[in-house]
This record gives sequence, C-alpha cells and structure tokens, in this order.
Amino acid sequence: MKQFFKTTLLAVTTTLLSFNATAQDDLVTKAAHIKFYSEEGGITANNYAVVSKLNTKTGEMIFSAPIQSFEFENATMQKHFNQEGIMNSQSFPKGKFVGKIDNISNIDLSKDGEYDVTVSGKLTIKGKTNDVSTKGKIIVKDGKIMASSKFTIDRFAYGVEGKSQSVSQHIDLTINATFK
Amino acid sequence: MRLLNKYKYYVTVAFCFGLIGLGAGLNLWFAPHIDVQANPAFEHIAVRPFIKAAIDDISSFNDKYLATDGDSKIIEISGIIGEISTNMNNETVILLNDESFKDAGVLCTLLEANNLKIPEIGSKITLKGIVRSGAEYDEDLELYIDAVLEEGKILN
Repeated sequence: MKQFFKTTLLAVTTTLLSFNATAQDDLVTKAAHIKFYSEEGGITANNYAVVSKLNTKTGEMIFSAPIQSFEFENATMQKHFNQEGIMNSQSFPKGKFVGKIDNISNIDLSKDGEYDVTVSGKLTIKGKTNDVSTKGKIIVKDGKIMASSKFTIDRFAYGVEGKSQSVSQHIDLTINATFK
Repeated sequence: MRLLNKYKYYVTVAFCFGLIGLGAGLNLWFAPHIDVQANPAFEHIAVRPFIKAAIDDISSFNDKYLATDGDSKIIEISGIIGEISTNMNNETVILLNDESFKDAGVLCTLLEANNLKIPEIGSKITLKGIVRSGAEYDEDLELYIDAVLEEGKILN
C-alpha cells in the first residue's frame, strides 16, 4: 500500500512538473505584425493585431490574424479585400499558421545571438489549408526573442481569386513577432 | 454649318458625361476610410456579454458584428483596464477585462490623437471603436484570443 502511494505521488509530481515546464516554454505575443504586398499595383496592407505563440523547447510556432485588421491606405481597396469574392472576412475572419522551427535543436534561445531558421507548417486562409515552408531569422537580445520571415503565397491556392487583374497572383507576406 | 453645330453638341455632351463618370470613379476610388468616431455606435455593451456572445456562438457573433466589406459595427464598450501596451506600429493598445472572466478580454487599438491621457490599470472606462474580430478559444494556441477593436477612443 505504501509503495502504491509512493508510485502515485511520483507519477502525479512528474506530470505536474512536465506540464509546468511546457507552460513556461510557451511565449505569447498579442501584437505581432504581418505585411501583405502585391507587386502588381504596389499594394500594401498591414496587420498589427496578430496573436502568436512560440514554444522555445519544441519550436512550435503559431500565428493567428484577424483578417479585418489588415489596413490598406486606400479605403476602397480595403473594402474589396474583405468582400465575399476575395477574402470573405465575415465568414472567414481569421487566417492562421500552425508550424514549427525545423532546426530548433540547433538553436539556444536562452543565449543572445542571431539564428537562421527554417519553418514549416500549415497556412489556413479562407478555410483552405496548404503546406508552407520558409526561411526566417531569430534574434535573441536582452531577454527578447524577435522572429521574422518573408515568404510568397499563391493566392489562388487559397481560393482568393477575385476579378481584379491589378493584384499579383503571388503575394509577399512579411511576418514579425517579438516575444518577451 | 448646322451639321457641325450638331457634332459639337454631341461632343460636348459626351465630354460632360465622361467628366461626370471620371469624377464619380475617382470619388469612389479615393473615398476616405470610415470615420469611426464620427459615426454613431451600433450599441453600448459591457465586456462580459460581448465576449460571451462570441464564445457561445462565433458564427452568430460574426453575422451580427462583422460586415462583408470590413466596415463592421462601431460599438461603445465598458470594462476594466487590464493592460496597456504598444503594438509594432507604436499605437497604444488597451486590454479591457471583466472582473468575473479574465481569460479573454477586448483589445482596442487607440487612434493616435487620443493616446495622450490614459487612465491607470484597474480603472473602469468606456471605449468606442470598430469591431475587427470576436473572442474565441483557439485549440492550437491553447488559449482564449481576445476580441479586437480598432480606431478606438476613450469616452470617459
């Protein structure tokens, strides 16, 4: 009986400790930034309301962006972007990336430095999910972790078609996040 | 001579219509963004029911508050200041909470011109802003995501 309590206590303690370690490894920011750029038309939109999580041990990385927070300089362009034929932001109000840093085992995020990373995962826009793999950079300085990446997506692969020919098929996305 | 006058008349009329069309097109293309603070609020609501409406049924929430063209509902919302931060565009962002439910709140980005006087954390305030998204539990992030309001102004 004594042995049973000992084993149970050990199991509970181990579980609690591992849970705590996982929670401590998660860094969250509610103010990441995504920039959208179309070479055709020179169209830029910025979103400063992106939520992001980075797990410093596993390298898991998640970004969730409210689509209606993309700000365009031109109001008419912003309205077109949100409409049903383009982003349909009323029905699909969030875009999301769920992935991980592939080479996290080679990086020590507790030490200051600049690290080249490769990130792969799944990007969901307008309810359609595609695999994405890209290179990025992580800078660790004074207890802050700054992550950035730039990659191109084919908007047609996400059903973002629309009638306008003045927007490129391939859109550049630039992502920046600072975790403390 | 009469034929020439008729021709001039048609050219002038076509030119006028062209000018009107061009003006209307330019006016539409260069229309300003919605002036959130100049427009009346759709409703005045507290943080708790606003958050609960989204968590209970996000589809109904989106139908009610989000517009198809992105010019979504403008609301006045009351709550307690939980956090004051700055985003990557150097704009002030206020997190409004409800004392009985702190897992999710309302993040509101303030208009630059209104950044000057911000009450302390814990103060009860009312904000006016445009809805961008509702609160919801995200299974991948394993946390509640706050609702987002933008172009906000502190009313009191």
